[in-house]
Order: sequence, then C-alpha cells, then structure tokens
Amino acid sequence: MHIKKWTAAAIGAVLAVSAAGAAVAHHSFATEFDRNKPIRLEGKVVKFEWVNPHSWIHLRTADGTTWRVEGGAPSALLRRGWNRNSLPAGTDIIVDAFRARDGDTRASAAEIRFPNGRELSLGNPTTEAVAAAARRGAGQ
Amino acid sequence: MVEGGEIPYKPEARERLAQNRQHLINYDPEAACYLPGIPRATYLPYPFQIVQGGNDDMLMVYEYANANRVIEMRAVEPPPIDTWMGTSYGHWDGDTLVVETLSQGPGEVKLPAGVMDSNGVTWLDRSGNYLSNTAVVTERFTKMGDNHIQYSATIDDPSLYTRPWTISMPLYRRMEPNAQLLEFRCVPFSEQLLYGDLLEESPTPAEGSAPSQ
Repeated sequence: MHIKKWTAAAIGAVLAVSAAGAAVAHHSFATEFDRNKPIRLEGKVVKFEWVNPHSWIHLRTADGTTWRVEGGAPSALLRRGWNRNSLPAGTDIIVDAFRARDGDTRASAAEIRFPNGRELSLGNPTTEAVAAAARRGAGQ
Repeated sequence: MVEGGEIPYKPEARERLAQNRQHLINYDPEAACYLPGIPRATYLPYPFQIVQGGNDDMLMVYEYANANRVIEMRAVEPPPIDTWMGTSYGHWDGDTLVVETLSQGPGEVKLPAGVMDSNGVTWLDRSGNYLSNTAVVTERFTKMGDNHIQYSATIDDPSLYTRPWTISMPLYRRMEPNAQLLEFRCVPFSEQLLYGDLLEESPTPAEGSAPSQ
C-alpha cells in the first residue's frame, strides 16, 4: 500500500470500536462464568442484541424463563458469516453454555445448534477454549 | 444548507419529529456521545481527516468521539447489519467522489437521561431531524482548488420523506502547517446526562414520555 502518512490518531480510530454506551467493563470468562456449571438450554429466540463487547441471545425456554446467552462481538460474528437475518425471533435453538457465577439467568456459549443439526459459531474465543477443554476432560 | 429550504417529511414521520423536538437534549443520541452517523459527522463543529491510499478503500476519521468510517470502493450491496455509522460504498464520477451510505441504525438505544428506545434513529442535527435505517445517503465530494471541497448529501428514505432531498455546503481545509486531529473526549462533558441517574444524591432525571413505537 502506498499510503503517504498514517497518523496515530487515524490508526487509533480504526482500532477503536464504537462502545459508547456499554456500561459494563469487559471482564474475563472466569470472573463472570463458571466452567464447572454447564447447562443445556433449548428454546425460542426472543431477541438478538448486536452489542459490544459481547452480543446477547435472549432465549425463552419451555418453562417460560428468558435466558441471556453471551456470544462474541459483532465484528467476530460478521467474520463468521452472521448478518441481521441469522437469528430471527421465534427460531428454535439449542445451546450448551456455562452458567453465570452470580446465579442469574445468564450463560456464555461457544456455538448454537439448530434442530436440524446445523451449528453456528458465536465467535467467543475464551468460551470456545473452555468448551474444548471440557470436551477433552470428558474424553471426547 | 437544505436545498429548497425544507425537509419533506411524510405526515406519519412528523409525529416522531414532534416528539424529538419536545425532548431535544434528552433524546438526541449525540448528547450522550453516541456516534453521529452520516451526514451529521461531516458538519459537526469538529474537523475530520481523509486518509486516501493508492487504489485502496478510503478512511474518514472524525475528531468527534473517535468516529470513523471506511469507504469501501466497490459496488453497493446490502450491509449485513445496521450500525451507527452505516456502511459506505464509494466510486469516482470523474473527479467527484460519490459515497453511498446504507443501514444506519442505532437499534435499541439508551437515550440521554435514561429512556430506552427500542427503535432508535439517526439524528441529523440538534433540532430533532432524523433519518431511519432504510435511508440511502449519497454524498458527493468535489475538490474546488487545494483548500475547498464542495460537499453535498442527498438523503433518500421513502419511509420518511416524500422525495429525496439535498444539503450542500463547502468544506474548508484546515490550513495550519501542523494541522492534526486532536482527541475530543466527549463523555466528561456529558456525564450528568449519561450517568446522572446512577449518582446517589442527585435529582432523578425528569420523567419524559417514552418515544413512540
């Protein structure tokens, strides 16, 4: 590339993500979720929030509870082929996730599955690592 | 600035305009340092910088709140999601850069002073004028000598306006020898609006009716 002059401000601006409004600082997986509390959630999508630092799937399970499942950042989702039509409200999905430490109806997942078996990555690298470790521990 | 002097809202779009006008400082996302969108980013009172490579995409960096946008120099296609600054596609028409920006949408947003709006829109100014995520903003940048660019933006949004309408203005280059973008940290000026409801001993923000829709 023959770009004449990149100022620090330009580079900083390219790297900056529009997160004005995210009220929660970005913590690690371990502080918020418990790798020893896996849970399988099945239900219908109520809402999908495209926000930073993590996207959130609002999922209503059969008993009427609405869970919030953490996914990756919008940039990570877009790179994995997600778009506005990927998860419409009313879609049935199955999620293997790790529960929040504080007992709230909140969990973090590495991917979602549809009833026909298709899987879709959520672009959440730390949760993917935890899920992979869990599978290795279970001898798979 | 508006060619023709008036923005041609449809009657059903005027209701939201009236709502915006009743709650300007509390509903304008810019008052809470959210991203300004296009074309508002161009005429905010803060400079911006155009970074232009060889045959690459172009980058516009705005001093306001780290706003920036990449202009992808390829054919327009529907953007995968709505974003605050939209997705911009550009091409050259002779010596004029033509940029089309689509899918500008705040989505669900917590407005200044705390009201949740599930159907956020991009504001054009502090007077409540707005466009929606079905708008296409077509900008034209034409260089008029070394220090001026003639700028126009045509906004086409069939859900809000009876016809496309255009704003135009010259852009002036900052001629100082060491001109550079500084960092405008917006949040310290808007703390009361952004976080006032979290202070333990402050009056709660005035209750306003929720925005329509």
